[in-house]
Amino acid sequence: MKGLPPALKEKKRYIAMKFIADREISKEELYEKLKECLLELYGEFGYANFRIIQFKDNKGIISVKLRDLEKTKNAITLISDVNGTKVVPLILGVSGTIRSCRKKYLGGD
Amino acid sequence: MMDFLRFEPEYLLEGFDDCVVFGETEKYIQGCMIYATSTKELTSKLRKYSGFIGVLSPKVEVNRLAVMRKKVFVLLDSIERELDYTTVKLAAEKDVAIEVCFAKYLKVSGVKRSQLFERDRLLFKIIEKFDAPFVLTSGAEDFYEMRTKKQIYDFFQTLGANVKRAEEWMKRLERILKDEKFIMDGFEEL
Repeated sequence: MKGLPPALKEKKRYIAMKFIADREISKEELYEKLKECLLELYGEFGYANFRIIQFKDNKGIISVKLRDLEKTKNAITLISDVNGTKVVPLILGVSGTIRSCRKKYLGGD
Repeated sequence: MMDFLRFEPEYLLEGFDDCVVFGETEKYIQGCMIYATSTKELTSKLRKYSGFIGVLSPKVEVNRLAVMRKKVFVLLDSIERELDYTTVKLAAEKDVAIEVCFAKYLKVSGVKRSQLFERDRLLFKIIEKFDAPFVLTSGAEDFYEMRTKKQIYDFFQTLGANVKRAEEWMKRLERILKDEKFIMDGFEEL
């Protein structure tokens, strides 16, 4: 909903993550896999909305609401393959802003 | 912190500095996994092997016998492992650790996975009641089943595990394995 007062806006968290895999995973593949994992784990009622901020060279940032943080982290941990490619998903850390997330975990400015 | 694995990895992921390998290893601590489907099989295999023994069995009575044997350090985890209330209580009395591994969740999906969630949720409740020794591990059979310590501990925390206590139990097991002067809690050679 647009135009919400700041007190009603939900807090966000940014998850920095990395995949160890034999090939490069695309942003679309990650989105589909994570969506499938979340739906399988929590169903439509408990689905956690997420947004992929960036994903390149198997490293990226995912944005989620604070209340869905644990769910998303569990779903990421339970990913074992992406389109037949075996992967090791690693959660590098969680931050309150995109900037600090990039700085702390992805080595950016 | 230590991890229990079923293969020898090239390197360990963040959070783990050592591991027990229930398989062939030269780099890490060697563990001995005994798989038994009957009590007879378990007793005969226990006679043959020594060292850091872990027992894996799909039968409740075999696991119950295993916790009562002095040679057994840990009850290993897999999809098929079956434990009951009495076995957990006995494990607390006899000081045998119960392993809860993460890798089993990657091998199944759907209803089977939800049954595993339910099983472990109940197990953590009983463990909490008796303060039974338990360890949270990856239990990986290949590199792709490995996860960082934080990921594993966060995952089990959502299932109701007391992760602080699990860390303490793991540190204790580490001391038993590495510190030759350690006898038991409160006793050590000077």
